[in-house]
Amino acid sequence: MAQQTMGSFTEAAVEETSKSHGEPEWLREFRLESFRQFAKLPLEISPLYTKYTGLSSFDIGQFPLDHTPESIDLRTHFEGYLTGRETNVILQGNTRTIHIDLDESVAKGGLEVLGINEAISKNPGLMKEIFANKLVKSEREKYAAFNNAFFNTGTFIHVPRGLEVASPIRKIQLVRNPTTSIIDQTIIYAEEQSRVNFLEELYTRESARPYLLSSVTEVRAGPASTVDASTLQFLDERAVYLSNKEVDAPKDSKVNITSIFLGSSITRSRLNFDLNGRGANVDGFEVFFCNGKQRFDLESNLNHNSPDTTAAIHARGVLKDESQSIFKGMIKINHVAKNSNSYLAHHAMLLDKRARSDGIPGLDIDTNEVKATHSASVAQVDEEQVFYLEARGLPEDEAKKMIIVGFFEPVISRVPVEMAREGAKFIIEGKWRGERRRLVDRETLMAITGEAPVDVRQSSDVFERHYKYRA
Amino acid sequence: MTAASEIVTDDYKTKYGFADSTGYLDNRRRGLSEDVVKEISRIRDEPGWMEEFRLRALKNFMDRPVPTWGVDLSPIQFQDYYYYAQPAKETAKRWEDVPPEIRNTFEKLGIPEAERKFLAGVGAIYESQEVYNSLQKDLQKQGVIFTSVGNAVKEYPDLIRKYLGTIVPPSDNKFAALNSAVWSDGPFIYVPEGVKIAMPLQSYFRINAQGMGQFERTLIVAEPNSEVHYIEGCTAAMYQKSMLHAAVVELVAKKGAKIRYITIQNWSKNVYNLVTKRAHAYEDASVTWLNGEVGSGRNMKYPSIYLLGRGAKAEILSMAYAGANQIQDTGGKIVHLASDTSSKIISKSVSKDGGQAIYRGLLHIARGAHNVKSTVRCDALLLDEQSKTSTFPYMEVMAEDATVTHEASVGKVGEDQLFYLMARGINERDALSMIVNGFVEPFTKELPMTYAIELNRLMALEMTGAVG
Repeated sequence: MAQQTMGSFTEAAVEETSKSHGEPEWLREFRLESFRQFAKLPLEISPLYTKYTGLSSFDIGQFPLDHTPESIDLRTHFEGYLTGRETNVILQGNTRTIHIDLDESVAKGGLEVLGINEAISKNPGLMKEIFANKLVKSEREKYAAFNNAFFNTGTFIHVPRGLEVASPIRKIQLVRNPTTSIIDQTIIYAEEQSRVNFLEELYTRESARPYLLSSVTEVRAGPASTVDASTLQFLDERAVYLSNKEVDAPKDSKVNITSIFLGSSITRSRLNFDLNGRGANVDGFEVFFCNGKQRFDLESNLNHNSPDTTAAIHARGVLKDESQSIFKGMIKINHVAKNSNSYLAHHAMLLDKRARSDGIPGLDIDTNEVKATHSASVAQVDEEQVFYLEARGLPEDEAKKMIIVGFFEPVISRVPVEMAREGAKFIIEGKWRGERRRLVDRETLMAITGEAPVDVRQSSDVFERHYKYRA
Repeated sequence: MTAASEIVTDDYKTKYGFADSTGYLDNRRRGLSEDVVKEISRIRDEPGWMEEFRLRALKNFMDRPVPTWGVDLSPIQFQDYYYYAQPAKETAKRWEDVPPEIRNTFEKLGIPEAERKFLAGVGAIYESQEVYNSLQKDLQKQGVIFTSVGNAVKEYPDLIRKYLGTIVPPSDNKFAALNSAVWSDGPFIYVPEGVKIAMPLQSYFRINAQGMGQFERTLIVAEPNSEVHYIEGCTAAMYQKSMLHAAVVELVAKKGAKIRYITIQNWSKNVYNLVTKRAHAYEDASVTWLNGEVGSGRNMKYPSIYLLGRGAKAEILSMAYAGANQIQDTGGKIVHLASDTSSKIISKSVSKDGGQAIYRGLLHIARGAHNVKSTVRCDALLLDEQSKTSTFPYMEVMAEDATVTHEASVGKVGEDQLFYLMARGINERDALSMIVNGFVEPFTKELPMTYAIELNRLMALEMTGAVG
């Protein structure tokens, strides 16, 4: 296990973070309290999982924290990631929100998309309330506390009552030689009967040193709202990626969370669905493909706190080379949550002798009028399927690739943007072939979308004349 | 609901929960210390190496903290128990030679009758001592050994020194250490190469005195291509104060050997049942654990099988019933250390009247173990809204060509099933009982007929008034 040091993440650094953003006193206090939790908490709180803490342990002290504003304008670096025709897009370079562009119709409808610091200065009342009832709670997880204490960037999305945002909101996070750790808080606040689809894509343009990207996502769905939130993590092998997601699903809401984790050296993900209102319905879809020495530590929980709630988590992973993964999942059905229906599935495919996959799918049921099932499996590529395809003239290698891509397909098809879907398949194929692929150049973009990117430098005026522009 | 559980309690009391006099405890000291351990060793007239084994284990026990996972063990006051009680002078070979009081107890429990009917050998363990033991003559001739571990220490010291504590070392866990320090009787079974014992051997365990600790120590060695089928049953007198049963069971199945080990655990609810059971299975050997966990108030039991040779097979079938004030924290562990090995775990649990059933399992497939196949299935049935169930299966897979599946489900008795049966004139209570029996059937069908009937009857008793 790596030695745990605090490095630049000290109490003084919390004060400085808060000061450099010119934050109100309540937020400073929130950060300080979170820091106390971060300093105090062990890597793994649940005694059920302590045996496996080594898998995603690393020394957080090795990563820098720097408050000086980014000196390089990263706007030009999005070439290759964009066709230039996107709308409803948020561009973020390292810790800086560079650009936010929304469809005019939804902007008029009252959709608000702001950088987290801007949101705090613009809507202090609302944000104070949100932070007072934080979903991602510092006392529950060490790195949730870390993020709450040190976050230095983020996005706030507010969908007003009844508004349906037709096309997905894309947030593209680009990492290029960051001088500081990227600690992001994204809050999606969807009011009653609204509908929104959020897609977050994480790419590395260049990296010289190991870096840390910590991300907290809160989905605060309103009654009868529909929220989709997807994450595509395509970071390079120098990344340590931490993700904490928490979903509050009240009465009759429908929330889907999709995660596709392909990059990073270490990925540690914690996803909690809290079904807090009668009739709430959630689905979690998670896939990962790890190779080389990648280590993935995923935990996903379904907490049924209300009657008539329905939930499912489908997790799938492929492991190659010396990679390792652990999947922990728990269905918790509270005493009052009668007529709940819950399902948790975890299926892993091992492609190499040196790969390792652990699974702990748990059930914790406190009442009887429920249906709760889970299933888990670890297997290899099905020989019968390979034979079937080979019998149709496909070479073995191609047949296996098809089976693996097919293994991911049901989850990838949930990603709302074609380019992102194709990008995921492109990277998965690369991993299968042992190639290190990145989605960085015009040729790749051409290959997967059939569209040549518009030169962003020339089109920056196009962006600027839109609804919002942030430098 | 209250009335119903009283009926059940009463029934346990009359059938199993009665107590005999405990005069043999008069000179006994409570508590645990080096002196007590030395005294146990002295009373049992053990060789020096055994005393040393006990003292080393005692030190290990003292140095270890009480585990904080699983059921809450903090109420256990280790100094409050009796660690040794010898109710009779020696193991009787004829039933008539067993002291009348104890004989009476086992007769009430129906042991001699069962022996006459279908058992190849019987052992009866009362408190810390085996009071009766018999084995069919022809098996004796074939070289089968069926005695207590205590007697074996004197009679077969080489075998005991070779195997005892090698499968479950005293340092394995706190309660294995405790057992190793103060272990009392349990059967030692040795089956020579090629001998197949057709009828089951049985031991019956009984705790009688209040505040008693029973430390069953069982060792079964099956030489190549032999077969043995062993059954153990447990009951205890009912008291307000807790009793402690911390057993260590070790099984060795050599090449091609088959061991089938059945436990019907029906301790009274004042018993803490903290048990370490482990088997080593060599090439082409097959080990089956069958556990019917109906009794005890707090149960922690995870029988395990280490598959050490190519082609070995492991099977753990268990059924747990958690009624009022019961926590059944049970499961199974299978460690695949060789290629072409296969394993199966089927776990069924029923919770009622606020009982809590927990499945905790580990499936470990080591690097280099190829073509391993494993299936785990856990199903839980909740009969009312106060009852709880949890499932914590751990799967550690380090081989790319393993096929491992795990499935679990939790549900309640379907209204439609009940309705279907009631529409055919079966009353609600019987209908429910039938559904529950059907649910645990994959387990009961593996038991010898008499035990299957007994278990179904026990379940039916516990289920009385389940529809609330």
